[in-house]
Amino acid sequence: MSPTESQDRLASPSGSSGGSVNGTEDRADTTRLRQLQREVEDLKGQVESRGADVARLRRGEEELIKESERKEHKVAELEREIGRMRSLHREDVQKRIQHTKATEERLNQTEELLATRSAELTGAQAFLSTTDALSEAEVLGIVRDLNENIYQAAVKLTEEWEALESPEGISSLDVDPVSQSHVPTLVQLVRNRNPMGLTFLLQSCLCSLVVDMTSSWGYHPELAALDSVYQRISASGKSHIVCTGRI
Amino acid sequence: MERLAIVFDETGSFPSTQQSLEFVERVALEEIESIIQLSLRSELAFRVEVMSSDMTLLFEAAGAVFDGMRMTDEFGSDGAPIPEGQDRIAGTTEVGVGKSVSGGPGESRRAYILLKTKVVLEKDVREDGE
Repeated sequence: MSPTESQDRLASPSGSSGGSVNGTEDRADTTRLRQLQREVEDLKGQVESRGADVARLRRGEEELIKESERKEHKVAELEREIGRMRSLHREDVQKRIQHTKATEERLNQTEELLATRSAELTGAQAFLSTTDALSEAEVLGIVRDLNENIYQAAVKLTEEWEALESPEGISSLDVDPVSQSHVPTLVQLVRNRNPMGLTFLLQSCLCSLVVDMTSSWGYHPELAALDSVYQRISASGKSHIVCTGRI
Repeated sequence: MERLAIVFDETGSFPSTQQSLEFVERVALEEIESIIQLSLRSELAFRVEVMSSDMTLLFEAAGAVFDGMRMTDEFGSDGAPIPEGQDRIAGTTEVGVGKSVSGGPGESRRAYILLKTKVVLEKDVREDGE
């Protein structure tokens, strides 16, 4: 029975039962009523207690929500800070990479410049010193090697030439007179199919070739007039480095 | 290459200069490259590596009079002296090396022969040719 039903029953007319029976019933009802009232009070107390619990829980929930929000804010703030730090780190790394590249480029340029200057210095030192890097014997060794190569080339060409058949269809009118040659005697020998003559002729030709190749800067007696010029430069005390060792 | 081809032209060995040139290239290209490299090597030695004097390669033109002070005879191994001025050069077979050194102030340069040019004389090849 709910508290409302109990009150309804208490409010209903009691004269319908009549006499002592009614008195007994009234006492029982009174007891019952009181009991119900206590129950109601208990229930009210419980309701109030539950309400207080609910309120406390709600406050706790609110606090937890607030705490959660604070934590979320904190996390968001930390994430922003991490993002900012990452961005700064990336910028720093990029700057370091650019700095490293610039340094490497400067280093390469410096090394190239050093190599160029070293080569120039080496070249200049050759003219600044009168010390010979090669002995006469070593120089003569190179020239003897050159002569040997000339001989080998001449012999090889001669051997191949000997293996050829005599050319046909070339009349003596097709070639220049022997007298027009720089080496007429040897040319005449070769026209007579003399192999040794061809070897000599080729050697002479190759010797002339290498001398022409190396003579452009050589000292020539016909240029001895330059000696006096060199002497005057030397005496002036303003000798250019290329004259050092040559005067 | 062209110079050697001209030699074969002069001697009437091939119908055309082009054929002479092809013959030289086919037979002796490698040897000629070696000769050029050695020429450049000697050039470097003369101009840069030897500074105390001026060195030059020596070559004797055909027709010049034989000079025993500067030349040796290709067939002169017997050591027999050749009378000066009595024979002429048919061709040079080996280059020689000359050296020139400056004297002191007012002095002229002094020239030396370090390696005599080897030549073949006309008298020798005339005998062969006859």
